[in-house]
Amino acid sequence: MDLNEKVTEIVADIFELDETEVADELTPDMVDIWDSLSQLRLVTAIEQDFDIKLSMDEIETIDSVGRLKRLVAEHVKLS
Amino acid sequence: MKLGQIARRFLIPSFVVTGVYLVKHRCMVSPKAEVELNKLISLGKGTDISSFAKLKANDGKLTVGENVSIGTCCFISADQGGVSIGDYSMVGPNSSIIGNNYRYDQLDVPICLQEKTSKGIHIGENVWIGAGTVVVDGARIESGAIVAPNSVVSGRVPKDAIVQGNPAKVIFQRR
Repeated sequence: MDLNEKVTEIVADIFELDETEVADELTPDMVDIWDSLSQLRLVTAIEQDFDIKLSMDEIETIDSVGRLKRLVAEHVKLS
Repeated sequence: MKLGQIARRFLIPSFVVTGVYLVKHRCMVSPKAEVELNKLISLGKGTDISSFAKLKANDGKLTVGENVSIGTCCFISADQGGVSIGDYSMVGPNSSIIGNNYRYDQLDVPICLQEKTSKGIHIGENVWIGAGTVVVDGARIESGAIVAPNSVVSGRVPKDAIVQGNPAKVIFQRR
């Protein structure tokens, strides 16, 4: 499973969506339960799965699934 | 209920209680809050107790630190194990912090007549407890933690953790 598929799977799991609904353009406004707390749950799940750690500044910039994937890719590349 | 307790609870006007806490402890207790004048209750300087909050202590200490904010309609009850809340902590409205429990191991005796137990509750410094949270006896919330609204805390919350749910689980570690 590549990085994009893995992130999609985690996003779908946290926000109770079907994986087919998870596009890069998906934003918090489009998901009812994507609030500040569920975003933190998402970050924790991502960090555990990829063994990375995002800064608070980075977490605050997550405004779409695409942005999240780019952040994860940057961290995975660095590690 | 002992006679002295009845007198303190029903005969002392609330503005007197507010005045005593303001002069003696330098803290603001709303005249609409229910806080007994009781040696077991200690409120720190700059602490604010909002209206309709009720703080009681029976057989154990209720220690509230400095600059603590207790929201509207909170209920805090300390028993033998005590309840302590550290400096700069905030307790959101409608939260309950209940430092006792009932035994329920005798089926033929009403639960309310069975023995009370109390392990106590510790809430560290700079803790933010969201509205509607219930903290039950035995809970320990370490400093810097955040409890999301409507959570139920019964165990230990690690330092700087953000917890949510019933039972409250760590969803994030502050950094």
